[in-house]
Amino acid sequence: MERDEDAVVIERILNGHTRSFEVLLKRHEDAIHQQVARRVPPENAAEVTHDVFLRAYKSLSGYDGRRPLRHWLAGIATRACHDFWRAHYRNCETPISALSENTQDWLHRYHQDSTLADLPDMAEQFETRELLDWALNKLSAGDRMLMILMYFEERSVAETAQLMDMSAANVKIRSFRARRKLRNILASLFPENRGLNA
Amino acid sequence: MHNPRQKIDRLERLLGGAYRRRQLPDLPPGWRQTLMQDIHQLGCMEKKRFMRFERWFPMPVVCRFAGAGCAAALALMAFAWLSGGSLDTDLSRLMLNDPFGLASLVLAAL
Repeated sequence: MERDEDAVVIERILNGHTRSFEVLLKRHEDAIHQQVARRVPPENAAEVTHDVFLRAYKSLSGYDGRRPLRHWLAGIATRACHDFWRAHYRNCETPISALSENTQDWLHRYHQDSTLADLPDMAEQFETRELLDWALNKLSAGDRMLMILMYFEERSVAETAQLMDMSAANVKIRSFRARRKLRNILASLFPENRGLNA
Repeated sequence: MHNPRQKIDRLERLLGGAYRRRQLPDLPPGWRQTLMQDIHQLGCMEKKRFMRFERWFPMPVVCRFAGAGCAAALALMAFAWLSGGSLDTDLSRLMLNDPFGLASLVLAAL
């Protein structure tokens, strides 16, 4: 139903009624912004979402209607986030000492404690979020996106391949390598694991 | 938890949880209006570009001459193929030796 409504609006936009684009915006902006806001720093989320919709407008004539508009927009959002990280790629030489004192303490406790049963609560802590950003910053833009899509957002290989515009085989190989890299990065947090092929 | 691999597994799951529970910011007020302004500007620019093209190359004329242009190109290619020489050499020779002949050939094709 929504697909048909989108098709009607798109036709109107392509016939020169640019104002109709607002209808698409109202329908999809929240979903797309949520996807983007998870993948880029909060202060850049609005700007990247803006870029997603501008790109969508420019390439609207290329939308073939074979899949729902939201999937098509999600593909554009993924590529925009990928481009964002490529442009903001920092050298991966961020040392562990760059983490805040709280996070380093937390890591120390994590290392010492053999139980740590309260995982769900810990996931909301500032320390885990800081650690997540630190670890992801050490990956390349492509590896980062693959890790996010495949392991954190738990998307299928086929879906990831479609969003990243890659073949399924390539996604499998590259995501496997990206995960190994991330595990090595996490292993490096614990002194006795340095050099362990996790 | 003493097994290093288990420790990393657990940390990985923890980071996955942190990713999913991340607090998401809302779009700032006025965001949609700003975007719509940009979209409108883009639309106007596209329209202008198209109108500029239209002024110099009106669509009916482009369509009318497209067929004739293709026919002329085909005629030249056929000429080059039949004469057995290279197209560049033949064309330059034709232009130097018989420019009016070439013009009449093109006009005939049109």
